[in-house]
Amino acid sequence: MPNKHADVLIVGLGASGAILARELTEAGFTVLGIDKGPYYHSDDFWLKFDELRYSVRAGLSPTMDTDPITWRPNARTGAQICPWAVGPLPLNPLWLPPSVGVGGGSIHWACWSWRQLREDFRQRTEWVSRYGEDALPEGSHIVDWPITYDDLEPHYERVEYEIGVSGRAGNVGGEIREGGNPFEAPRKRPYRFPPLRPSAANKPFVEATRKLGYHPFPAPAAILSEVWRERKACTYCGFCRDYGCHVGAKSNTLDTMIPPALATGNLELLTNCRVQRVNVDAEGLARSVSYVDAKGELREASGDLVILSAYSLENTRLMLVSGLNKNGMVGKRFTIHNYGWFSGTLPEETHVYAGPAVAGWAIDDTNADFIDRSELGFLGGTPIMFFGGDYQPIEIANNLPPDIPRWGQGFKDWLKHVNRHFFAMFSQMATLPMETNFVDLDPKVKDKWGQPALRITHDWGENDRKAGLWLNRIKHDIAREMGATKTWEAPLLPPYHITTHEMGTHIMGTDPGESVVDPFCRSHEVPNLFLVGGGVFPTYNGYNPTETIQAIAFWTAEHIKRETENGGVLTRFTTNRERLIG
Amino acid sequence: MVRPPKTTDTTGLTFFFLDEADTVEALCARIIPGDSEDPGAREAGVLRYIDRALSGAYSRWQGAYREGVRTLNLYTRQRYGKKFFELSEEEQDTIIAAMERDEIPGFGDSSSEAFFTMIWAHTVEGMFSDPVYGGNRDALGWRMVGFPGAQYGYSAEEMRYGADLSAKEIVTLAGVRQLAREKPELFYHRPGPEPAAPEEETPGVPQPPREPGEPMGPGQ
Ligand SMILES: Cc1cc2nc3c(=O)[nH]c(=O)nc-3n(C[C@H](O)[C@H](O)[C@H](O)COP(=O)(O)OP(=O)(O)OC[C@H]3O[C@@H](n4cnc5c(N)ncnc54)[C@H](O)[C@@H]3O)c2cc1C
Ligand code: SF4
Repeated sequence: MPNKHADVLIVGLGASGAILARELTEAGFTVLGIDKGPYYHSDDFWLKFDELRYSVRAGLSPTMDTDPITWRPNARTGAQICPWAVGPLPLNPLWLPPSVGVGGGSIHWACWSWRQLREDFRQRTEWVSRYGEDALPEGSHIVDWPITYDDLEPHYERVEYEIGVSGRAGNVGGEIREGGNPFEAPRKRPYRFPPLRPSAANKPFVEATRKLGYHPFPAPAAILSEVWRERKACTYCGFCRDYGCHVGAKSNTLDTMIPPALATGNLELLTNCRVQRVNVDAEGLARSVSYVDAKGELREASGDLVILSAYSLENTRLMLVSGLNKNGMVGKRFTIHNYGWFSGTLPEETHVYAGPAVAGWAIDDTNADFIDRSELGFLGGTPIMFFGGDYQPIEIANNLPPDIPRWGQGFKDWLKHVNRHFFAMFSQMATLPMETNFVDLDPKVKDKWGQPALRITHDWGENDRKAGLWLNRIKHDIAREMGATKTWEAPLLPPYHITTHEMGTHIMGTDPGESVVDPFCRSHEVPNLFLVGGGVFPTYNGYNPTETIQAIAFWTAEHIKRETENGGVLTRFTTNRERLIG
Repeated sequence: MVRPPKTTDTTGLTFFFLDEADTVEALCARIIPGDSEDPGAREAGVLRYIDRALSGAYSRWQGAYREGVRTLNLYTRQRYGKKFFELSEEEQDTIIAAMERDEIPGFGDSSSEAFFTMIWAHTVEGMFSDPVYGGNRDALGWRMVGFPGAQYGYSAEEMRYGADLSAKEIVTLAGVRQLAREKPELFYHRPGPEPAAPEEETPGVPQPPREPGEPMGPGQ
């Protein structure tokens, strides 16, 4: 069979790749979309109410069997396959790579959908002006992003209006709106849909945080609070994070982006096909990718432009396996979140199984530098988020406080109590981009297809510990004010080093020596190759990343459309363009 | 002509041998104890969950169970002259406490603590997963903790802080399956074109290269 060819090859049709597929097919490009996972039909999720299948056994996530990743705390230590992700204990989809299949992580995510703060795009400027150059820890690489909030604002709006986000605006055109997030950057339009109905125990959280002088607001949710076209409103089933949605209320790219892309007739999907490398020709251009098809046969497909949107870690592995790392920056600036889980029980029944997690509210007073960090001794900030619902009994049993017996009558009594009275909140302190945290190829471990596994070298540091201590104090204050009857915390420095929020590793920048892609996600090294995803984040912040990843996908699509016309910088690669537009 | 059996109960075993089943069930019953009044892991059929999981999804832990049970019973026979499940509940508790402190030798590459933790995790799974997996018989686990199961959704009143949901009827996956048959309009139907079928039928997931004669394994 001859090799397939299209104007644009997209590797990975997840949260971001599917956006590019729709934008480019609608603009008249032919697109070949290659994804290692299946194409799910909507009735695949009608019977998804199954904690064992989707949470404990991570039914929608790749596992270490097919997608091994190794980890070591530092370069002096031997790496092993991520120890938290193997063995007979429950898997947690949050400690695995996020996705397999068209729609990617947007199918079974928890749907927190944030715009970054203005400050998040310029951490270096903010921190140096507030705390001085000396405050930046030795070995860190804190920079400003090459793009600003204003660059992305229209693209954030497209995510919120075309994929569907519910929430309450806090700042519309500079005017602060009651009940929204007063810290958010100004937006042109409010959210597309009103906020979700809050979960039961959210009430005491809101009352407590108000009393403490904070500004609680409904967390922005990529979930429909109202019917929209064929998609129904959320039924608050509570099998949300780790699960597909049975009524189409979760805003994923499989339902929002792929159907219109297919309707153009310009998208061909190759599912269950695993891309292994990018092939670069003598001129240094990406000519094709090699992939293993569903039968196990090695095939090749070519495109005038090649886009890698296979998740930050897999993009990076593909670059390294393909030998594309001239400046040594691929794999650098790896950052992740520390979730700071904080659990407790309340006097009343909390029905914590009802409603999605994101139906809890949040405070942003603890984010960025809204509280001065000078005396606190760490950099960075995070919202504190109430975990609305979405807790089933197996996860609750596994979240055992240290002073409760693990077996016997005491354990049983605890289970009866905790399932009725449980609540949780969490934060997302980002690690700083440190020289010592990076990914590369594992010299020994390979996947089943003989490709080297990715190796993570990462450890938590002093900044993470100090921030965690400070956040725990605040969470304790909130819990006390809520009337909590008991509280317990996850370890300050967690045992996992994958969080589905892996940022950096192919960062964007204007200096080709210090970054992997330009501000439009185009590779400095291979000029017809794009890398999209959280990998482009030069620094990280306190928010879940996906709305920003998606806004950047829209931004990149705009760039590609613009620069393939009228003598734009991409015209020299797109040989067939004229014919296709005409 | 054959005649129907007297009973079609499903308390047979797919993986465990007799003593193994009794040993594992005794361990489960000490993790979540119970009786007919206030059922625990034994009453909820957790053993059946583990036995079925081991001959299916968890087949890779077969060796860990087989070896672990053997080691444990060897130890109790030396100490007490009995197998674990023949001991009194107090004696069993003493041994579990020792396992947790990792004081029981002979677990080879693993440890008595790791063995116990594995059984602990699978006991919790068997207690609280959908009854279709073989445990949580009659939704006893869900009843114990007040979990209404595979609910299509919840109303605003049901999500009120302190609301009383004790009268809510539990739903299992079998119930959702029936709902999906009877009222498919309650569920989402993706509009628009389906992707074109590949030119050859290629079901499944990308397969790793196989050695000649090696059976085809699951792709993911
Ligand atoms: C349980 C869970 C909860 C989450 N909750 C949130 C949340 O509340 N808010 C938030 O912002 N984010 C959340 N995330 C993270 C979110 O899913 C990711 O940020 C997002 O999916 C990343 O988008 P992406 O396009 O970079 O990659 P993905 O969405 O992961 O898509 C990558 C695609 O590439 C395909 N692929 C990978 N490798 C190959 C290959 N070699 N060849 C071909 N195809 C390949 C995959 O099948 C997939 O379709 C959550 C993730 C999980 C797992
Ligand atoms: S909680 Fe709402 S959005 Fe989430 S899966 Fe259930 S119905 Fe869908």
